[in-house]
Amino acid sequence: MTEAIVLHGPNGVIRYAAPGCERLLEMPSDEIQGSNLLDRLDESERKRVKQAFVRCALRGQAYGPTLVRAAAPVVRWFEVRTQPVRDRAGHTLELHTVIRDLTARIRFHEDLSMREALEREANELAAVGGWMLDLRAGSLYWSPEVRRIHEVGEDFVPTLQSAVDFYAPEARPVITQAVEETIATGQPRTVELPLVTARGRKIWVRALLRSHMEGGRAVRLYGALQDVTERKAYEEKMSQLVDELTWQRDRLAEFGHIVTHHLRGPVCNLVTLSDMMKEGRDESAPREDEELVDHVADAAKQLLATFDDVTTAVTSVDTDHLPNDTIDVQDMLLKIVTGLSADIQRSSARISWDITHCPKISYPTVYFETIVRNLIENALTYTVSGRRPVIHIRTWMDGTSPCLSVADNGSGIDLGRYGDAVFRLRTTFHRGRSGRGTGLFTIRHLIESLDGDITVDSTPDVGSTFIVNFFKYRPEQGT
Amino acid sequence: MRSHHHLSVALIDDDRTYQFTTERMLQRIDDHISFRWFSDGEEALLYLTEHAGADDTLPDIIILDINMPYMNGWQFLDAFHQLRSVIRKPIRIFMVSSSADDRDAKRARSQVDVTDYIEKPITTEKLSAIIGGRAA
Repeated sequence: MTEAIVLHGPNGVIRYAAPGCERLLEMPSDEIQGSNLLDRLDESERKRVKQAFVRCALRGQAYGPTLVRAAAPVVRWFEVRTQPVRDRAGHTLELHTVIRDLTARIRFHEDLSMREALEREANELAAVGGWMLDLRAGSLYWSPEVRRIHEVGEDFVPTLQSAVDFYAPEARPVITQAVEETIATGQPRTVELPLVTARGRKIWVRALLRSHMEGGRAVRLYGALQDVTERKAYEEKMSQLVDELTWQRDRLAEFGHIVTHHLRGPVCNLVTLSDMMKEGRDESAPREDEELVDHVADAAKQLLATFDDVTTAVTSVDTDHLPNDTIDVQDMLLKIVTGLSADIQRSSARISWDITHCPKISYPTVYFETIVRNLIENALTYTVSGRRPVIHIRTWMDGTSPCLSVADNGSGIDLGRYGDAVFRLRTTFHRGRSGRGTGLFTIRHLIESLDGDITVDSTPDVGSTFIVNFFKYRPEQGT
Repeated sequence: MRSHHHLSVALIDDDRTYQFTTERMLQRIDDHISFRWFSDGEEALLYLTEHAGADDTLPDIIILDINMPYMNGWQFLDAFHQLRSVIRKPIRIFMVSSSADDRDAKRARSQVDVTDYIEKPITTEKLSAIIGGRAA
């Protein structure tokens, strides 16, 4: 630190300067004597300091230490301390002033507080805080940002136990284990866990744990804590998007399959039939011509049926906006069963239901009716001859999602063989049956378009149970 | 009329119209060709197993569809390959499909037991080529 000691009059004119003043006063040593000390100060400071010098000389009082800005152009700060020098009679002869250049020290403190402020802001922005656990004293320190993440005030005194308790119940064993392992092994750990703040907000944090070892033992645990809720939400959204895209891609592949096999097939037949009609008119019997026409009609009908199925499936994909109705399951089942009464009587089927666990379902009425009617129709179709069909319908809640099952004692499906094909268009599993295989394809599309899921459990010759989980993939289903 | 061997063709396809047109076309090409139709792979397999030793009741040519219920064309090929040890007769298999997908054609042609892959619609020319060389 540079220092200058000078003797001067109340007007500031220097009478004597101690050696080594040149640097601080920025003057050659031979010019110092006779120059005015006030000139070395910033213009704005001169009046104030001069008055102080005068007071000091007149009243014999010391002045300072005080901080004074040095003369421009470079910003410098002097600490000025002035003492009167008196004779034996007590008269002030001159003033003795010590000037210290405090610029470096002030800069350092300014920088430090600036750095601290920057760090604080960066931490706040990244929502990262620091913590330290003194294993010997058992005390836990939280930085302001860690407090902010937990939504606790400055007066909150954290302990290891209370810190662990902030984590969601399912995450507590994980963080406890991470702490124990870091203490035991000295290896750093990073965990991402759900945490519930003091205000009851559920957030996600990323905790970094490190240990400070002394003599082979961990004495301190320290690390960082970051609020990663936003990123987690984003990741969640991304994964939902990927699921949705995968679903769409699968639908597209399936649509491709339908086009090649179910649309192109009948068209090929039509082409061949018309070729044959052209080629064979003169030589073939009229009987054959008639048969050809019948086949043309069949192919056209088949084509139309496939078009209808595909249209239903494709349009059902875009029905997010369809409003839900509150459906009285009992009324709906009665309506469907009444509609199917002819089939039921013919097969003398017994239909029963248990809907006490979920008597009302919120769903578009038309869809619900189509789905349930199709499932019951299937159960009435794929029966075992000589066995009275028994069909049981059940409803229940899976969390917030209503579910419905239709169980039968019919011919069943060999799932080992057809597992993935059950819900495809026109898949027939029963030899000699004209099962269209359309119903399951269509209702699967309806169900999936409304974030639901349909599965089947079946044993050949024992029966099948179809289970619809109406809102399985809907993240937040109302209240 | 037994001046030459009567070619025997088996069609494995669930499409009744396709079965009808193929049979009529074959008759127009050569009315001595014997024709047999199976609506799925398993039916055909059952027949082949039962007649494995009797060459004259086995088909010379199998026209096999890919997309069928119950047992599809690929599943049939797997099962047929197992039968190769008991069936002596060289049977030529043509896979036929309405699929315009190249992958189906590639996959079919890579099968050891498959002679060729034919895309629907079937025409008299295509059928003649399939039975050609053996028909006359």
